[in-house]
Amino acid sequence: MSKSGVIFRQEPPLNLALQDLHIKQRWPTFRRVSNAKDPTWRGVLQPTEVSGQYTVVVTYRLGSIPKVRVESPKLAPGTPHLYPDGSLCLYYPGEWSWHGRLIIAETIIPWAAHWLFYYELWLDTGKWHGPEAPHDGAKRAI
Amino acid sequence: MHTLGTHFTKLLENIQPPPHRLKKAQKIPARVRDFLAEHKEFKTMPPHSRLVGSYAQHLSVGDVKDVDILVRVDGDPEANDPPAREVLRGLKAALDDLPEYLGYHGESEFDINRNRRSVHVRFNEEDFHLDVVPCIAPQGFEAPIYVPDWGFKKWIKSHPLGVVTLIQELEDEHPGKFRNVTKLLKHFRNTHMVYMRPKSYWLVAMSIEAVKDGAVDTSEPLAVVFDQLLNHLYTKYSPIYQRTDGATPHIKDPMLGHDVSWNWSRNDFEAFLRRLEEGKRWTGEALKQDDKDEAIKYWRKVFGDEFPEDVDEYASALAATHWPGVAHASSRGVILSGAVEGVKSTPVLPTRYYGDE
Repeated sequence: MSKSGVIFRQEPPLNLALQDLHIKQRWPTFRRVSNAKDPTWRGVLQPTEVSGQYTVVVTYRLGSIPKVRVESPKLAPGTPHLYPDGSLCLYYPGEWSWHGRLIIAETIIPWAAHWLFYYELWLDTGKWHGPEAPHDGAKRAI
Repeated sequence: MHTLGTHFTKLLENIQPPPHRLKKAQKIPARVRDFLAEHKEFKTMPPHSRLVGSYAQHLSVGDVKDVDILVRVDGDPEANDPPAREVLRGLKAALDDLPEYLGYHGESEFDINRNRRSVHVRFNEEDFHLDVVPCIAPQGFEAPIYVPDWGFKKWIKSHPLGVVTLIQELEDEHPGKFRNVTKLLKHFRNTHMVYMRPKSYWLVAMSIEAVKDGAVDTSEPLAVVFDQLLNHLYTKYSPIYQRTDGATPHIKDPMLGHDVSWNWSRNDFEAFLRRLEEGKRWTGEALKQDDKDEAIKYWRKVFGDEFPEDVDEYASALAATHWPGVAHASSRGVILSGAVEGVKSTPVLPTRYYGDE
């Protein structure tokens, strides 16, 4: 990011070591569990004081978009706001897009925790109480 | 399985003592300290007084009117100097003037059938009372202290602040679960037992032992943890229940290890075990149900009307106060309605969820 706060997309993406450092600093239960082509972090999120712990996996390859999956417990059938591959849809690609200068620990992981918060409200009421982008009928994979 | 987190969150709100009483509980020890510091006959020593009991433990539930306060006196507990009974009598006399000093009407009383180690102060127009416990604290409140026992006519070792610290440590280790499951156990007792109730301190000791021994899995939702706790307690105490020699459990003090339930009568213990047996059957049924409404019916048997039937409005309100752009996520992922002092958190940036499969 420049001094003026403007992000220059041509700047190189943050490397994985830096992403890892930020994740460790903010999310102590998260550990990098893979150094291969698809770097992965696994951690635990508990969206409310009375919730159980969800094991969450974040996969991020440089140059691509981070994906978040809930590994356990299994999400309920019919869970809204998931992509066809089972990853969580954390933002509307029409109004926000990921780029490599962003920090996973400050965007993707808090959104995943927040998604779980609304998921639990949905489980108890059958309604998604969180903000939703309007659907145009087509599924967009990011 | 429905674990009904929103219902449990609302239940915990419903069983909290009124906020004004929590505030008074925090403020009152300082005023008692000032009163006793000025008192001519009953001498206390620095730091004079300290809040203890369920309000200090942050484990108070329901309509708990009694606020427990320690007051420190000088002495040698081994030599029974000053004599335990004399201190209780002296404190009773001193506290007669406390209601007026605080601007209330009321009186102090010492009822050995109710409590052998404290003086009870009642305020006529107020909905809270004080239980004032004198103590000799050779190394301050944070170390073991000695409290006078009317029946034994001597000073008995105790460590109330140690328990407060232990409770905080267990909560740090099992966030959101230790205190909440203990509160639920107290509320379960309050719901099902009017008479023959086990003391709150025994329930706290049972809960501490269960969590320390790993008898409950605190990574599970609170509903499951509570079910595990009831099952554990029933399994643990049912062999004693089966005995015919009048035996009762020896519940260990979490800090000092002595038997705190030495005066638990067989009848009262049996009543508690019967409630546990019923309770664990209902929690088991509640967790088995595929139908949410059926699950709620069973939880209402366990926790009474305080367990909400419908949380739609409550969920909307929670959602609105935890909106992205305002909410923060703690380092464990707990969604907060904003930044909280002393809690490391990350702001949740504005977003809208998408994708509906």
